[in-house]
Amino acid sequence: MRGHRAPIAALVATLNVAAFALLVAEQATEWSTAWSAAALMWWVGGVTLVVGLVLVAAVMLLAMRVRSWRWRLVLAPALAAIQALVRAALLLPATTVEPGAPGGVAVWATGMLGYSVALGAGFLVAALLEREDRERERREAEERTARRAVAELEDEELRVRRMVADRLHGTVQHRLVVIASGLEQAASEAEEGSARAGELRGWAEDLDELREEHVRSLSHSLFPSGADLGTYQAIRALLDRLPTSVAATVELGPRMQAHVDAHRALLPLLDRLVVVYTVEEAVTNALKHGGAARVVVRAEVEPAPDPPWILDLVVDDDGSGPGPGAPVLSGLARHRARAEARGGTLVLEAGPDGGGRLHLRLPFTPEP
Amino acid sequence: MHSRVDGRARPRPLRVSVVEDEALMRSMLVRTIDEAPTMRVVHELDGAAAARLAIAPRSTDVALLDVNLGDGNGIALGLELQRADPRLAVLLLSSLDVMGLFLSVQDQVSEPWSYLSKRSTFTRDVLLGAIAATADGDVVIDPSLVQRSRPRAGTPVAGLTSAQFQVLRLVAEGLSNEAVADRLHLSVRSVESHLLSIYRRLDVDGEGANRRVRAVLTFLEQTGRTWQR
Repeated sequence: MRGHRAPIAALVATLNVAAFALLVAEQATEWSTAWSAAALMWWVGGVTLVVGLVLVAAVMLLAMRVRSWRWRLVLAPALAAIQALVRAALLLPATTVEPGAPGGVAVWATGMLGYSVALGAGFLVAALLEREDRERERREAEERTARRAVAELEDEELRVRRMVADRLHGTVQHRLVVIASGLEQAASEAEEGSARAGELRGWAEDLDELREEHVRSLSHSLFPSGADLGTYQAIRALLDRLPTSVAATVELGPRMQAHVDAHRALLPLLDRLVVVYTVEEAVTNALKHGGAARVVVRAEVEPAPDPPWILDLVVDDDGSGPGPGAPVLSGLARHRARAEARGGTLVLEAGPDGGGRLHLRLPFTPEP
Repeated sequence: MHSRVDGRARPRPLRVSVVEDEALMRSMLVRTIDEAPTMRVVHELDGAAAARLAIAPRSTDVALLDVNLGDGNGIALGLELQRADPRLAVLLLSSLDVMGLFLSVQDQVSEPWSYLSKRSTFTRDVLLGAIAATADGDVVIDPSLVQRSRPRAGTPVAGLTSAQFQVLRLVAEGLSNEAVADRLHLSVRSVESHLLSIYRRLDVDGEGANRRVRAVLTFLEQTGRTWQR
């Protein structure tokens, strides 16, 4: 029986002992004519109660020492039998006066029965509660295992993403840089203004475009540029890549600004990625489906004495907004699921600039 | 900003540390720098962790940092090194246009950084010129990136006249007023007057070189680079 379950079991047993004492006290008025009815009630009831309480206390002590249920089920009835005997001995003066009164064996048997029922009820309650505890512990352990497995999977996914992105950044882009520079070199060595020189320069430019547009977007979707520096930096890097026909700004709230100024990346990496991908989705939708010409990202943190803190991020645009005719944004549903999986919310609504407003609230545990 | 020894009359060679994880690229950079009589490579390192250990404060004048190091981010490394040694000049190298990233940390640095695309480092004069100018406290931004810059809609830079935009673009490449005047066939005086109106329009305050650097950063901030032809 575990610590916090024992008092409940003891309480149940005590209540049963009290009920048993009341019951026998009420019947004891028949036992003797020599004793007054009141004296009989007080004596029989009192003895039954006190002896029963001692028994409950003894069994509680026993249960604390003995962890095995088998021994408990042997020793507890034995204690009950002993206490029933003590009770019978104490009640004997009140029973032997009249021939019609119950004999010693009957008194012992009644005590044994009453006490056993009282203890049994206590044990039963304790056993049921304990089983429920074990069940809950098992469930919690399973949940912990599942959460750990998810966290490990997320870490592993991140590791692979970074590794592939690093390779793209390192080896692949480096080779492209070297080849483009070689072509450029060859072009400058070719006869200036010749068709050959132009062709070589064209190839070098093709390679540059391939590197800057395609390899970059691949590498970005694997691991956004700047995500290892901080949320703000990654958002800045993202907005900087938008076409220049789009006016894009990021505004930090005073608390977020203070953390950026202090070189402090508040959000854990996984949360940063959720934020960056969400901003990217909002901006893409605003430009592609909403025809926006202006995008404003606002971010602020809401600290709390205890984690989690909340990141509150809004992306406003001046496009056509999420009207009733807007296409179903399946990408948004995916991002919403991701935010909700981390305890956050993601809502697309009409913005103050006439376009859409994507509002992300994401709880996070600030990095030390 | 020009408190350091003048590039043309240095009493000792510039001490340069190269942090680059691509071995070929690193040896190319080191060879090019060591061949220059006014420069000397003091550290040749392949990652952020090695750089943190090796580059002690005051041991290096210019740190050449690759942005994407295998074991960390060159920008974060640069911030860290400069916090330990506020006079350290930082020249970032990247195989990608990471201007947004570069700009996102410029208000956290003690000395403004320069930025070169790896493509340009293959041109000896561009690389050595950028190292020397950065050591002198100038901001040098890769000419090929600056040339691709277009004003972003809705920004003050988009409101500059085309003549002002051209002047500012050349200043961002690291050209002096004389060189800008030469390139645009203007008088130095009219370049100066263009610059004053640019400062006013962009609402850039500050003194001398500092104001020039702020204007360059504003230019970069309010432009975007396009690669599609």
